[in-house]
Amino acid sequence: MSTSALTKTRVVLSALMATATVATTGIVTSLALARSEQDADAAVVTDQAAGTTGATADAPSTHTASPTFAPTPKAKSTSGTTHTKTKGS
Amino acid sequence: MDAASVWDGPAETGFDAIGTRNSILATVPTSLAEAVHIAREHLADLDRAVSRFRDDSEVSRLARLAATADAWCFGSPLLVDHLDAARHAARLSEGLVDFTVGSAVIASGYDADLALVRARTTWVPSGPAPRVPGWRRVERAGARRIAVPAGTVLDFGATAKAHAADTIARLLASRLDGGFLVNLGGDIATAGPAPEGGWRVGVEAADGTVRQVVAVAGQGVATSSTRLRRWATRTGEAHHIVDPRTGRTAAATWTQVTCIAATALEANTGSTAAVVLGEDAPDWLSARRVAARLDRPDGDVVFTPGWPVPVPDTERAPA
Repeated sequence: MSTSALTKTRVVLSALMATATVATTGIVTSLALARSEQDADAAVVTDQAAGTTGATADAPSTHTASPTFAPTPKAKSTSGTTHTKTKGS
Repeated sequence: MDAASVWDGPAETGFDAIGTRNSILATVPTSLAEAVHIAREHLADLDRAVSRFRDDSEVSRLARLAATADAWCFGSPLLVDHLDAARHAARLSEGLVDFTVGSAVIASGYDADLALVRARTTWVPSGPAPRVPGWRRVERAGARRIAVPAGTVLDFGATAKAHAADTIARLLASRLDGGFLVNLGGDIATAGPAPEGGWRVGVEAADGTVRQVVAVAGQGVATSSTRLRRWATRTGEAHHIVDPRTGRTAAATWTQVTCIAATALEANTGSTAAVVLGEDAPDWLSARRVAARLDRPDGDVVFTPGWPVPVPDTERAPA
């Protein structure tokens, strides 16, 4: 095979590899997109977006120091007609 | 004399949703209809997300998945939001308000809408109280993945109404003219401008009498009672607040506890924790600067610092 023919072959092979790479990237991107869309669609508990697992959830969730009740302006006692009522729930 | 000169207070509409009576008050009457529409839509979504009493809710479906094995799901944004609110309450209360008490609440007899539970007189609690898994064992990963250990039934009964009241009040004040008070079954949130002198909130006892009237503006108010959500069992009466440390109905040291806090969520966290704590509640609330009124079965009342001292001529409303 001549040098020119070898060069042409390499160019063709390079082009084919580049095409394959682009195609593979496209497939991976498509898969990632599909996965992303699947996650986004899984907004509620469905059979496709929920399951059971053998792994236990024993490890405590990471949490920060205990928060405190937010400061509150003092309420006033009053009399007369009420606007509404708080009752036990 | 026309109607407007008889009552110039805020406009109000009441409605039933999420198994309780609710009301919206607005300082600008023309905002009220839209406000109620927004609130109803939000509560319908909430019911689909967190109700223990409908089979198709997210909480019920996750409970079925977790019946025999650890389970996970992708929660809706509303479920995740309420999970975060419940985690906040659990942290604030150091675990006294725990959203994993569902199995224990069901074992105590509260496994259906309260009217059905009360109609049943043969409930017999069986065996030892179920172990409460503990709120720290519920994991949230990423934006929406929720994982629970086997046997977990999430129960947002202590936080859902209060957090929804806060959410709806903020939503209304941001979208509509005027100020709003949102009362979801007694859990009260306010947002926007208040009426002159504040929103006058009656603290109502189980017999329907108003024990005190407090004026709030921007705060949340909530009451937890051991007298209202009660039902008969063959081993005695039970109520809906479970002590997560024992899995059993909390002792009825107080007939009711009312708290005022920055939000309805924090107010209800304080009042629920107080019922669970019993005699230790006044000190616990005082140390955390939560203004509270605690009513004993014999009629005595304990106030924590910050609670407004009652005025002598407090209204007594008929039952």
